[in-house]
Amino acid sequence: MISSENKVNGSRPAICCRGVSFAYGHAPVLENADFDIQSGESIAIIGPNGGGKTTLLRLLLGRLTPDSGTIEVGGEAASRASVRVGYVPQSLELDRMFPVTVMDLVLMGRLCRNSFGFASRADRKAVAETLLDLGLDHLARRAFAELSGGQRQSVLLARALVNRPDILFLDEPTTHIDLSSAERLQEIIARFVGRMTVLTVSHDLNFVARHVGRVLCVDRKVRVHPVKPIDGKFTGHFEGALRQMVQHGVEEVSDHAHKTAKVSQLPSADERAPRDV
Amino acid sequence: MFEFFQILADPNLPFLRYALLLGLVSSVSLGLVGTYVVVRRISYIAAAIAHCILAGVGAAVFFRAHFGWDWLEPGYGALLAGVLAALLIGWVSTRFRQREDSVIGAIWVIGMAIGLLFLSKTPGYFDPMAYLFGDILLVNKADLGMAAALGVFILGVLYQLHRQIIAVALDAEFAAVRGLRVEALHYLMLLLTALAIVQMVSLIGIVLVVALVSLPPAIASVVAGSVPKVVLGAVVLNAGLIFFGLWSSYTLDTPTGPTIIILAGILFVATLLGKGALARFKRA
Repeated sequence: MISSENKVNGSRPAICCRGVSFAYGHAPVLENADFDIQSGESIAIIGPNGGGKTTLLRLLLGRLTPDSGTIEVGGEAASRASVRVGYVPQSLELDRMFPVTVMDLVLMGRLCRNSFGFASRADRKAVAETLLDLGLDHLARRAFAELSGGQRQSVLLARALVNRPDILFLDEPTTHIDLSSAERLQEIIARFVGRMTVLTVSHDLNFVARHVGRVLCVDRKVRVHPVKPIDGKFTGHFEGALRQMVQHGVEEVSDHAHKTAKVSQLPSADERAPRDV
Repeated sequence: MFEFFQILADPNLPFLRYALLLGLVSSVSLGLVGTYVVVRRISYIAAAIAHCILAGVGAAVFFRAHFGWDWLEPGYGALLAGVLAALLIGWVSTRFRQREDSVIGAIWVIGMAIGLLFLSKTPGYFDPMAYLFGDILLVNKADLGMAAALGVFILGVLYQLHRQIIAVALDAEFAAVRGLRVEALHYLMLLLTALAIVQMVSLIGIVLVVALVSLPPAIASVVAGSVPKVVLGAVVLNAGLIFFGLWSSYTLDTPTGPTIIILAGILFVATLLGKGALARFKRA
């Protein structure tokens, strides 16, 4: 069973973002972002296209350096926190002609700067355990490029989890998969909520509602909204405001909308077309 | 075949033996770096590096003739030019992504032009064709020693770093999140590609050597079931192509470089056709 070995100190936030601004050239993307994410929390980052979600994720992963402000991940600068972090990209397209097996791909998750020579027995054991835990052990010898979209996404999740991270970042995990695969992925992710910090960038409100406790609305500015989905769904006005936020970007998702929330059905699968930049 | 082995063993005819040894030593390096080149789809970068090597060869030949620098083997010039070209192209490919192909194309032809200018201004007659398409008679002991040294270096580096390098080739973003030095590893692989190409320039030639970098891993990837098997397959295929290419060249009295490349091309097409036919047979 996978569990987090590198537990973050309970008193210190898993992610601490202070006054972070970032611009591509002269085009500001994020302005003065300021928020904490506690250890074990599950957070969704939502927002319109071009609102800065992906930029915020890349900042948190240490792939971009903020123009101003500081980001700490697991008590360290984001760029030095790779040991604590697991990352699931939107998708990974590999050449079908090139036979990268699931085992080879998940082994990548055990790599670090000091990985030299061949993979160790411990590395292979960790991969085998992770695949077994996620019910993917029967795919170990299969070529990654031959798998279905849902299977690939599950394998990418296994790659992110194999090093037992404290913090799991998911970047639009449902963009390239069908509804039933998304539900399966949702079930797997829900198992890890509480055991590690989970941060999901997504347009798919149905997907994130099942496992998040708070929402970061990103549209150049970052606003944090505490929301407890009811029965795995965002509700009433708040749901409507979030959807508005995702589609068009809004100044603020009002607290009033959340307070007056009522249980409501979310739109059908046909109505929710996930998109991203 | 027996006669071929007799020639190989003849102490008075070392050139064929040197060529075979050079080819076999280089097979390992070419198979290893070739796999990276194929996965990253950067054959055009390898080709650009190979063509820039002519500048170094031309300069070495020119300085030997003009200043009597007999110690300056064309292979050393090739090595220096290959390293510089790899670093320059690495810098371009990481800094000018939007115009990468144009800039690399410019480096490619400028490198060749410099080499041809040096050769044209060298006293005496030097046939650029020998460097462009290889000449078995160009292979000497110095080439063999340098190829062995480069081979050991490439093998040592890749033994230690092959997992990191393949990770960068497959998913650079994830590799960076894991803390790997993605840019440094990219430079390193371009450098190793240049060294592997330099090993084979005298035998195969600048224009043709890229085929031995890219075709054997491409063939191996069609039939092998995992990355290590692709690497191993590429090495074995390279060694086989060198051996049978030299034998065919000797038997048919054809130029060695083109003969080896034609064999590689035939094998590549046959493998693709065979795989297609097998797939159709399985579906039927």
